[in-house]
Amino acid sequence: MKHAVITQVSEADYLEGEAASQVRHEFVAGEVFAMAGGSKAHNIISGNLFALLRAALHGSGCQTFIADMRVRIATQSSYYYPDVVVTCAPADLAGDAPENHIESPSLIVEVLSPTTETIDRREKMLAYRHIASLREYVLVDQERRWVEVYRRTDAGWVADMYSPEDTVTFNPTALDAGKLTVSMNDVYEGSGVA
Amino acid sequence: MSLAHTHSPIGEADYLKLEETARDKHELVMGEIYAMAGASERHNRIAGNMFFHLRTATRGKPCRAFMADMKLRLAASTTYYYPDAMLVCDAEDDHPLYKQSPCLIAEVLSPATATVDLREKWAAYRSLASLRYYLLVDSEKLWAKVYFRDDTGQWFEQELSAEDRIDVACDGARLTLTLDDLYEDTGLLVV
Repeated sequence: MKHAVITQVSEADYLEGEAASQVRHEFVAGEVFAMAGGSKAHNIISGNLFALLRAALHGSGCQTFIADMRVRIATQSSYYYPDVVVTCAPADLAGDAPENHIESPSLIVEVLSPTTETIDRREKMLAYRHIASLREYVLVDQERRWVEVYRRTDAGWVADMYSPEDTVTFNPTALDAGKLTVSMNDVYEGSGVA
Repeated sequence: MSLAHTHSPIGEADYLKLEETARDKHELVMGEIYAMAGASERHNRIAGNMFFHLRTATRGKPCRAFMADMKLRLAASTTYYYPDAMLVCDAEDDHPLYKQSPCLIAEVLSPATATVDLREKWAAYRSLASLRYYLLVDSEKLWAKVYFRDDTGQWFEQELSAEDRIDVACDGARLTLTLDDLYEDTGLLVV
């Protein structure tokens, strides 16, 4: 067979390319995929969740990141950019931790877009579950008020589905002090999503 | 303040029982169930062409060709998929409801599922030690690509043009595929 080329980019080549790239890419088991931009509502909802989590976790030793922080899933040889991600792991936050990615998040939020919803619901849902530290995976609809929180339990991943009148609970730290409860108004404030 | 409703994961045994009686097919990915969409005529014809050539190559050989309704189990991630076509040569891979060690997997790309085939499934499939070939054939336009692994474990990829051939060798089963073979009677003409 002619024209055959070696496939699979190495992690090192991906990271080097990403440092110089104008566009963000995700890395999935050796394949590189460019990321699409997002809508205003997507951006506002991500910002709301970032602000809520960051404020609630202030002084907890956890850190909240938005949009530009890569998450490395070593066992899958993959890197993703979640919309919002919380890590409480010293290995991610210590002075000598890697500058450009984290590996032990405890909570990840993805705001769903029509073009990437399937990836968030299937591929990333699976990939993120391979992260041992992850406690909660949050999917936020951007077309109606609807939030799903998948939580790791002894019986597998159990999801709470929140309708507009519900109050959403996050518990990224496993401690009562780190628990937060927000309304749908908080999540969707300013987004125009009713 | 009201409480959310809760959704629990589905175990493998419950999934397999569900699939035996369900009217539609579902995939299982680590406790989550996804319904499978139907497909276009062209998708069906391409899948049929692939199966025809795989089945022909396995006649009298220990390898077995499967299409559409045979599940592939990925034990490491508690995942079950329905590939469009598979070639299985491992005699011990004999569970009646699913296979675990294909040598070749083929997927026909549709607009609704191409992303899953190109990203999620490819990442999952390439974790199978038995896999040597992953063939992707577009149902919307003339485009096919094969990933193949050499004896050292290195993956290669090749997009097919009109004069190219894919040579498949899985144990005793050998076959050659061209775009003409894959797109026969689909209305998409190879020039």
